[in-house]
Amino acid sequence: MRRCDEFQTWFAEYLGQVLPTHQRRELEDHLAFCPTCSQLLAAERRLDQLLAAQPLATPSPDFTLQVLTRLQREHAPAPSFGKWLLNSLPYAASAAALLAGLNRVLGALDIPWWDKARAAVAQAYTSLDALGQQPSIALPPGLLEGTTSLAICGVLALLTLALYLSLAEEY
Amino acid sequence: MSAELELVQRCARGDQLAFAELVEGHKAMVFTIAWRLLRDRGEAEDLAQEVFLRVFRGLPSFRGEAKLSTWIYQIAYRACLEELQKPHRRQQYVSLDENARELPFADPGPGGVDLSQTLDHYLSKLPPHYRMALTLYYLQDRKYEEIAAVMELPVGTVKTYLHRAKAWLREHVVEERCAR
Repeated sequence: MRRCDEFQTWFAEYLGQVLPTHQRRELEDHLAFCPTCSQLLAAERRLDQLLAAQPLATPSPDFTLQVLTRLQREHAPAPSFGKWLLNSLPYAASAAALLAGLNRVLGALDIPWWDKARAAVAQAYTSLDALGQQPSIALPPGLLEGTTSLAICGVLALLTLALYLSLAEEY
Repeated sequence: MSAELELVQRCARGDQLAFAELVEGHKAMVFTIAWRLLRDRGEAEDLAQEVFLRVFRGLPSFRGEAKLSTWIYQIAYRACLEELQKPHRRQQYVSLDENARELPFADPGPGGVDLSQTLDHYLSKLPPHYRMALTLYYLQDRKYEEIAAVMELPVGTVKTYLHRAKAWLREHVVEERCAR
């Protein structure tokens, strides 16, 4: 003779109509005289209806498009070193121009600590020269002097900003 | 060749229209799995998208031994479990495992709301593997073998999960409400 808890493990398959015939008959015979199991089966049937009524959740309308966009981004070819170098050139040029412009502006303002810094750099150059180690980059005197250099600095700064914004959008 | 395998091969060749078709066909179920396990719409959407990216990457290795849906839901389930194992995700669930020491469940549940809301509240307290078994059972035509394949478990274990989960829900959702 089976116990009630054994019959209760058959409830799901009984409600799903997949319980083998001989077990179904055995369960129905048991239910006929067991009010506890009958009550539990009624509760399980109610729960079954509630669970079956739960709908599929719906993702956002542009879900597929978003997946395809992520996929395209993932499979986009990585920028080559040459392209990276080419992209970096305007940054390097504008940084140099900005430094030169800054040097010009701070020099014109006659700031003592800036003059000291420039003197220290000049001293370093002289020392290297004395040791016979000429610095590889020797800027000609008077380069980037005057208002033209400041205009070039401004244009390059704008160019850098535009390039940065376009790259930020791309990546 | 089955239409399913043909679709997979078109996707693997990089046919975006074919992949869009695949996503359209399975997005609701994948999103439902993610939503029911993570319980957050935004995170579920993000994870469901990630699942399809993993599906795309794995397509060349799909041989058609299992159904495409089974394979996709398996990836979705694994991705959800990975997400749920993250430290910030640690959550207290009711313990239904046989050897677990049963602690008294003191949650009074949502008061004064309908049965489906009460059910939703108690579903969120079930451990993820019980929730997954229930989700697949009711959305996959009650096929134990397919649930077992998705969850990579024996059929007997799936039946046990379903029985325990339903007994617990029955006790908290249906019987308590009827007793009030």
